[in-house]
Amino acid sequence: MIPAIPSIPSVGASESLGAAQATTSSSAAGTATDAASSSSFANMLGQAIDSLNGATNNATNLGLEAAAGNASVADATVASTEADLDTQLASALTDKAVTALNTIMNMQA
Amino acid sequence: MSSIWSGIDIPGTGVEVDQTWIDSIGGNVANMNDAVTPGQPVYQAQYVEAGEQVEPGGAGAGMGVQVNDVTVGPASGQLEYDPTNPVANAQGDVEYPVVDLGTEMTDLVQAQTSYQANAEVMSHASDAYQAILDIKA
Repeated sequence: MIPAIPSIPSVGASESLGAAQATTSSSAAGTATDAASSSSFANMLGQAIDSLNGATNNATNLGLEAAAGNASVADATVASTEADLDTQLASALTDKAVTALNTIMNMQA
Repeated sequence: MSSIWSGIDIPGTGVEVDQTWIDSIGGNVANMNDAVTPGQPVYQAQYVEAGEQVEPGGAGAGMGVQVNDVTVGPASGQLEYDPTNPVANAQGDVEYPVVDLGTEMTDLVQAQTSYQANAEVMSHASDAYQAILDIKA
């Protein structure tokens, strides 16, 4: 399980990098500044997805362990609540970042 | 345990300790009537000792709780005269563990209330986090 986690964020980071670049190139002509900002945004998004993935995996595992009687229900509840909040936080931050990017793009047009 | 959701982690440690407390009370009540022949090892009641979690450099508001130790009650039980009991000795005495049901029940009420209080803190912290996350520009 542990070797699998680092491989997934790299996929998520590259996908988000591609998505961010696609957004940049489709909305405006990409310059060097745009490329740099989209890259750091992609890194941030990749890290968020990484931590989100870890949290949801942890919550799933603890839920299974609790169902099997090997972990406490409290631990599983805490993990699933935190995974839920992590998901919402990642979603909120992504929305905000995309909104900010769109604002800048609209100003340029 | 330095998560961004400390408002959920900290009551989580409380729930964990309270669960251990309830478990120990359950064990004490379940073994209350374990009669043995006097001189044989008798069940010793278990009591949970809780204390603040110590984190290096973790000074500030909010620390979890942890089980520091589980102490045990007296090793020698109380003698009762019961000659018909199969485990009675030549004098007709049997030995029972030192467990006071009244104390255990009041402890149980305390443990249950503490468990519910921690769960409530967790629930409210979750609601508070939800409120800040619901802000959409």
